Amino acid sequence: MSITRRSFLKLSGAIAGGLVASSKKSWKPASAVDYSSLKIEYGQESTTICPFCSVGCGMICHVNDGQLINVEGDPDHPINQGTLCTKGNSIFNLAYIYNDDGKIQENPYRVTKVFYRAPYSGKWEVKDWDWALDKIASRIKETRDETFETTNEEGVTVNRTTAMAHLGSAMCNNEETYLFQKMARAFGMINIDHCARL
Amino acid sequence: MSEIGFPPDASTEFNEFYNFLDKEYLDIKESLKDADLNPQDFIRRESNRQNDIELPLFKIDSIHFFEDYIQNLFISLSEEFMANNKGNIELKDFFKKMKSDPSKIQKILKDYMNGKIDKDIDISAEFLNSISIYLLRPFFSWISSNINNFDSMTDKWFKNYCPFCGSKADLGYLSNEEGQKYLWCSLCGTDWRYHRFACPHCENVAADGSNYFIIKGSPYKVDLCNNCNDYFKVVDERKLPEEKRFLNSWSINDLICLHLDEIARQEGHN
Repeated sequence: MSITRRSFLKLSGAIAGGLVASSKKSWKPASAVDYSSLKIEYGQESTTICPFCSVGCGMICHVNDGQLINVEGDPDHPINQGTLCTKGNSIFNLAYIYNDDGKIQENPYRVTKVFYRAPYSGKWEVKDWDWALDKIASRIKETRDETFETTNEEGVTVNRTTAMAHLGSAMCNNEETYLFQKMARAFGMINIDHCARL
Repeated sequence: MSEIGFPPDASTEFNEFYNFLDKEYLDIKESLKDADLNPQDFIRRESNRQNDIELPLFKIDSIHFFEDYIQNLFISLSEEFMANNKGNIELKDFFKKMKSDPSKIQKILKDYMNGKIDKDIDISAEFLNSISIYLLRPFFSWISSNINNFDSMTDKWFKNYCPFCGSKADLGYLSNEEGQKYLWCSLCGTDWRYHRFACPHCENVAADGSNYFIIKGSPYKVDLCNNCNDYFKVVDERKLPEEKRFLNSWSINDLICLHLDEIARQEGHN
């Protein structure tokens, strides 16, 4: 059928109001609103997965001109069915905040550089990533070499260090997490845990 | 900048007409309570799956059970229309012809449900469309609210046609609970669950993101389809004040959503 309700409703209202006979009469479904002055805002919504924990909740991101304007739970996602935890609900603030005028601006508190506070220092220093990774590697090696035990008190081979622990991140996927625990075991760590071990 | 409240003020013509419909439908609802009709007789009992298509529940041939009610409603509607259009000869002839042969109305309605319009009827297709909808709505509403487990069916339907009567939707809403998308049947007013990102017209799912526009300061959102260039109107219940959520029904939105069509067309959509 070629006709749709979009045309029929208008016609029905006109018939009911007695305006069919006189096509010159103006007719509007709703009064008191000047449509031309309404403010229209365009947006685009697409789905993503919450990066915070391993539950993997679905989210809908709303974007306007490349600017993220809102994030909400995806009601069609089988895991969270539209809900989000408090942390997930505030994910918009990872990158943006609303200023005092109610406008969106970049979150000035978002940490985007490496900060280092030396032992006994009261100040943070900005360092580059290469420096930070080298520092972490040297401290891991130093600690491991100093504390590595090949046997325990009964003489049983253990090849371990109890001076370090590894805590997995839920922001890593399953494969990454597998590799990280392999690395931790290669170092001799026995205290291995994950932030999403609920 | 203007803002649209919820619901926006409707014009006097619309208000009067819908008040009239409300009264008529209420009378029908009351009289159906005492009628010797079983809602289960109007729906398919056999498997509703044919050639991998799930058919809607309503059996078109069962319309004749409502013959007397439809005839009475038709007379009331025709009187209401003619009271406002005394000079319209086309309408006058049509109503006269229909009143002289009540079986003709049944045929019109069955044709309408099958997507056809009788070529012998000398009246505009748009008018036939509207009169068919107004004649069928109260009965469909009565059946769908009285059949077993219908709610559980609508929550799992996820198709772009009504689980009850098979009509398409022109309007939907995002639920107040978690923003699930529901479509409202344009014929019987049944609401059923649908995919948030699929176009209800062409069923395309926008893999790279779905476009929309909103009217600032109102709960209305219009989803735009890049595939078929059509649009779909949605009322976001989460943006309605709590005391007005009960107003968010297909009938109230029937009244007030035409401005969105106007704007969508101005923005270049079908």
